[in-house]
Amino acid sequence: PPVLQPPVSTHPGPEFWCSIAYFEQDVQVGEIFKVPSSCPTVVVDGYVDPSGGARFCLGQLSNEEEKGKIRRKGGNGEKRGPGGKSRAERSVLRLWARLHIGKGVQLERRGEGDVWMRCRSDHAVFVQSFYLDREAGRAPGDAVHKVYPGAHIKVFDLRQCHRQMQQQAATAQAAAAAQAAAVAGSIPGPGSVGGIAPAIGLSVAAGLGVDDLRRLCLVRLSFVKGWGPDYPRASITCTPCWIEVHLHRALQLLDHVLHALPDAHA
Amino acid sequence: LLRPRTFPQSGGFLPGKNTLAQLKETGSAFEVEHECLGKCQGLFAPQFYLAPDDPCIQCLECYGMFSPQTFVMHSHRSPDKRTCHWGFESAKWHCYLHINQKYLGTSEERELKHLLEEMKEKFSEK
Repeated sequence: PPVLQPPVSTHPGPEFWCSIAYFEQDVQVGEIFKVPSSCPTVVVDGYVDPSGGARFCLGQLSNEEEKGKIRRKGGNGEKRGPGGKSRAERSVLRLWARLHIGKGVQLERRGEGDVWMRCRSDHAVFVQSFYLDREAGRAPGDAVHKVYPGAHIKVFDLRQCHRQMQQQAATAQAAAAAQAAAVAGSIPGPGSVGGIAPAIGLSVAAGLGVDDLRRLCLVRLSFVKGWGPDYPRASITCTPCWIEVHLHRALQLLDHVLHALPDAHA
Repeated sequence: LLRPRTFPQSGGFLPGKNTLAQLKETGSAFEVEHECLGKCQGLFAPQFYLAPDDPCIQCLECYGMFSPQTFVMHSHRSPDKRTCHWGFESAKWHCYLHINQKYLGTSEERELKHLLEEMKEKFSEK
C-alpha cells in the first residue's frame, strides 16, 4: 500500500519553530533554548545577556554537568578526561572557544520551515546538514560544510526533508516486511526466539531507525573548530563548542510520516 | 559552494628568508594568519601597504609576498577531501585575516588587533 503523502502545509504550525541545545564536546551545557514561531530569526552568540527571546547567549552558560562531576569525584582538579586534558585545560579551551564565537550566527526561518544561516562571527562555522550535502553533490553525512564569515546560506529545506523521510521510512518498512516474511517462512533453529517484532525489524533490517529519520530534522554546527578527516577532531562531539538545532516543523512531519506507515500486523 | 583547487600559487617578488628578517627588523611588521581553504601564516608589513593590491604580507613558509586579497587564497595545505567551502570570497579578506594566535593573551594583543583593523579600513570605501 502507498505511504500516505500529506501536503507539507496542512497541519497547524508548532508553537516553537526550533529548539537549540548547546554542547561542549560531548556534554550538554545549560537549558534547551526554544524559539517561538513569532520570532523567525534567532541569534546564537558568545555574549552574556541571559534574557532570551530572539537571542541565545552561550557566554553566560555554565557547565553544570562538569560541576556535578567535580563534586562527585571530590574535585581535586587533577583528574584527566577525554583527550588527556585536565579540567583546568578544558576550562581554558572552552573560554577560548567562547571568546571566538563572538557575534556567532543568525538562524532564520523562511516560509513554512526552510532555514537560512548567516555567519556573523569573525571565524568560520562548520555545519552538518543533509541539505548542504545534497547541494554539494555529496552522500548524506559524507561532508562537513565550512561557512565563511559574512556568508548567508540556506542550510535546510523542509520539502526536501519531507520527501527524504518518506522515502527512507518506506524503504525501511519494505525491508522490515521482507525480513518478517523470511522469518515467518523459515524453520526456527535451536535457540531461535521466534518471530521478530516489526518495530525491531524496522530499525535493524535496513540499518535505519527512528533516530536516523530524526537526524534529518536537525542541523548541527560547530563554532570555530571543524571535524572530520580534514581536521584533528574525528566527530563534532570532540569540538569545544557546538549546537544542535531541532526543527519542530520537520519533526511534526516525521511524526505524521511514522503514523502513516502501514501496520505490519495487518 | 567553492571547490578548492591546488595551491600554492607563486607570490612573486622579494622571495627569500633575508627579506623576512629585514621585515622583522623594521619593527612595525606583525604576524597574521588565515584559515581559508587550508590555512597560512604570514608577516604583515604596514609600510608596504600603500595601495590595495600592494604585496605587503610575506608567507612564513615560502617567503612569497602577497596583497591581503591574494594572501587569503594562499595555502600550502593539501586540499580538503571531506570539507565543502561555502561563501568564501577573497574580496572579503578583511573578514578572514586575523593576528597570529600567538599574540592572544599577550600585552601586544590589543595594539596589534587595532593596527590590523586600521589596515583593513585603509582602502575601504566609507
